[in-house]
Amino acid sequence: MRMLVMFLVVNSWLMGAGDLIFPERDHLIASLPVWKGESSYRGGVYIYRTADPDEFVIAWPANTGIPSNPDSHFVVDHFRLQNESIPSISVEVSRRSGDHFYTYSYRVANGAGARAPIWHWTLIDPPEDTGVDISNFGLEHEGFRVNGMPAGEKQVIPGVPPGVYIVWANAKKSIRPGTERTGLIISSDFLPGLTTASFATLSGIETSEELPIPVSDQLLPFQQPEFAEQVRITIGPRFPASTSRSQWTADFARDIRSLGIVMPDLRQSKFIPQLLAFLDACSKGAPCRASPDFKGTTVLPLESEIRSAIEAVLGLQ
Amino acid sequence: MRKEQKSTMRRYIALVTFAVCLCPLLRSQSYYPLFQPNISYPITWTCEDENNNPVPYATYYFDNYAWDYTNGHFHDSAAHPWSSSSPQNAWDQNGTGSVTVNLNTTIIGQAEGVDVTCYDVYGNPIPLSFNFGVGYPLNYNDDHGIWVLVGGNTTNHGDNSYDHWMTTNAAYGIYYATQEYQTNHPEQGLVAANDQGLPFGGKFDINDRWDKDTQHVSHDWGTAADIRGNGGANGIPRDNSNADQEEFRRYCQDFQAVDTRIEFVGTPNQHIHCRWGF
Repeated sequence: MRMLVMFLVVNSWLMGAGDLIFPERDHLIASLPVWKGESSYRGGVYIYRTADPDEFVIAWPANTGIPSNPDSHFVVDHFRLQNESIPSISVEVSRRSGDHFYTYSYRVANGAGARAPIWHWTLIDPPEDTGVDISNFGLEHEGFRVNGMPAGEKQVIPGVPPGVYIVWANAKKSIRPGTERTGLIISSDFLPGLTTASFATLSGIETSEELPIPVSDQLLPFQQPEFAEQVRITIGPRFPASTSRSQWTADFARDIRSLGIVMPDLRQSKFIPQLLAFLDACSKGAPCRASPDFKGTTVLPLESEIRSAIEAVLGLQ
Repeated sequence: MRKEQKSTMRRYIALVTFAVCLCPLLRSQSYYPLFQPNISYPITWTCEDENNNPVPYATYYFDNYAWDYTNGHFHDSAAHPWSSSSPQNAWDQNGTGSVTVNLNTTIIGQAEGVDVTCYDVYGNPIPLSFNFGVGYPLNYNDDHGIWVLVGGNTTNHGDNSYDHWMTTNAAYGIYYATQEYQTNHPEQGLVAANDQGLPFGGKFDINDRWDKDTQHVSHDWGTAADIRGNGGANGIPRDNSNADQEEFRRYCQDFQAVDTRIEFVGTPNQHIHCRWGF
């Protein structure tokens, strides 16, 4: 119990403005026993945490799954999460007058205090957005979209459907601590909305032997972005071009409310209630011609990005 | 007497009720119908007379067997398992003309059969045979111009045409992940693709063991692929950081692999392991 409380306190210390909360992740990690050597091993528990919150231990008898196997030597491997960056992402959403394509221009920075460079980051795109143009998403070969696979990437915003990744990756020219990359541009006729972005540093799970299925099953959560990487919320293509403006404002408002569940800072915002009132009125048929006066009320960078996206869609720019 | 399958539509669904009428049929190696490994299927057997009428109050005896050297298992031993019928004999005590017994499939993907003898109330035997396969419907992963297939001749599974079978989703996943790596590493050329799954999946017994050997168990469903990383030809280069292998591993994850890692690190068996959920 003492360990659980201490862990949660440490986590809250580390939270920054606009950070996301993952109660299931925190609960699972806090429930892991602490590894202090082979005497720590509990039958059936194969993953352990250590004093370093980003380092974990995999421990298993070699005959796991087949007790009759006489070869029961004990295997212990360590692994680190790929979350050793301090990413920030900002996006400008724009649409030229008369054009039905939206341009999403991203800037990704890695904080000076980060321990490792960002070599790979993703945002989740709707599976139907097959016409998205990623030719300007970084340098040649840096960007790709996961075409040909079913929608399988989960959003961290409750209720937002899964999609496929748009990926930026460059292991050779990664985003080192204290640097940033700009000019990461995609364009799509999909209307903007909130989506999940994940940022990874190099390192991964390496094992000295092949894992039995019960062991690898316990390891599966640690291969999900919200466990192993840094996760942020950004704006990207989200709603089909055929979405009516009233429907779009209703859907956008719903996503913002959902985001408040996992981003506590959003609930402190003075801007968001005004925004939601505006979107709700628009969704019920009120004219959305005038941009509400949000001046001086934004708290998080994401809030001003949401505002600019709304203005781009509603032609208020 | 005749034997037919009245319901093959559901043959891939667990706990399917599979109905067969009995008629003479020679033993013949077949993978169809195909039952999934390690599942108990209730099967209703009906013994029919020469006018195709069910024979009531008959007694049935079941004798299961496996064909040797099928599904890439080019080895055998006394421990070779096969599916069983449970119970091994049954009496149509209600006179319905049929009995239901469970076919308990083994973990081994292979061609199997069951000899069934049906005795009518006069004790006349009607010998019958039913052929089937145990495994999953998988697809052969040819080299597709991006891979060198390896590993098939090292585990008593014939050649490389026997150890590169996958589900559709996993096959696309490893294909796209490989392509992405090659795009970013034009110096790589072909990539050495090691074990995936056997033609009909089931136990991938790399040590000639028929039991639930923990090794390679994640290759039993045709959802996992190993990529060479031991410094051998066409492998993904390894070094102290294993950055290239980590990059490949991450591309597997981008293309929706649920379980990716570098295994046997620092040994002659080092490889990248990618497993998909289906």
